[in-house]
Amino acid sequence: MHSDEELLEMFHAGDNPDYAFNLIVRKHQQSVYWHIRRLVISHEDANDILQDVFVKAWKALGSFRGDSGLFTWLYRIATNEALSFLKRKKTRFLLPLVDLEKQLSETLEADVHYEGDAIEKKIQKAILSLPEKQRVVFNLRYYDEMKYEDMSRVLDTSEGALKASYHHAVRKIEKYISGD
Amino acid sequence: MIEKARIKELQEELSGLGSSLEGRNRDNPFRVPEGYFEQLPPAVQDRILSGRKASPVRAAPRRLAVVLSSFALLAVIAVSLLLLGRDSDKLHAGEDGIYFSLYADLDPYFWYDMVLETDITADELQFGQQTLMSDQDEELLIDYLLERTEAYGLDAGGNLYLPDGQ
Repeated sequence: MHSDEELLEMFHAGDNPDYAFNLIVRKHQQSVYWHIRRLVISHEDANDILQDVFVKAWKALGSFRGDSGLFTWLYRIATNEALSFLKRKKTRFLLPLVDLEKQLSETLEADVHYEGDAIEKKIQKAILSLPEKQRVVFNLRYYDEMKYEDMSRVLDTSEGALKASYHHAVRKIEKYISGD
Repeated sequence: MIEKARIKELQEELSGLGSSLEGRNRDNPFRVPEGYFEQLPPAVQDRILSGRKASPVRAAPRRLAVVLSSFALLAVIAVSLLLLGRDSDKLHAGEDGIYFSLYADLDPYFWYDMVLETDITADELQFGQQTLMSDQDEELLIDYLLERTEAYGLDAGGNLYLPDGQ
């Protein structure tokens, strides 16, 4: 498999940018998809957002210099797109009349593409009870096993603040699971 | 090797927090339809080539927005007419004219903008468009609005009435 640097070089060389971009999509689609999916829960929404992420990446890749790394750059776009989607959803459902957390929990309950057991479902609901940005931090650390250094580039936040946010999130989830 | 080191670091961090999550299986509980990741790259390529834009928020919330904004518009007009009717004997003829011209001059889309923070265009708000609203939805909406207007003092014919003989 090509490294991100090789793929970027191939893309910028201009011989066949379509092919290079296709390889980029194939390499990163799964990790970016799962990151989005954990935030928006529904597969259909995650699919729409993921396609938007890659279309935006395609448009911006020509001016991308690679300083932050392709992987963290894609995660950054994906995080922004997913959070914007949730914000739009809140506005259009005229929240707080409709509770977004409740709505996402209901989506999780009805999701035919979810196979977690009861305990796993409780953990997912506990994660949904977190503030959105804390949810992003928890998911990136717990599920994606992302280093704080990389997370700092994705979220443009200091490593110290991210560690504190993750620790708070873990405690809240513990509390939720134990039913306190 | 790097992956193992990272997982160990993560487990130690959770252990340090005294979290029961430390010993849990962190396998992904979500699934995708079969063949999804094989179909995605050509779908993205297609989007890029055609310049098509998939809408992340589908029509259902838009329908809800249309119903709610329509109700808000109708409710405001109905309540205002009712209040005007009640106070008509207190108003001078000149004031009546000002009130009615205010309502008459307002563009309905002004109310949509007031009620919703949305990027729905005026054209999309035209009722009866099949892309926006099915026949069944339209019937439900009409029934709902008629019911609400009656509650606010308008009968199905659009005539003003005052409840309890007021």
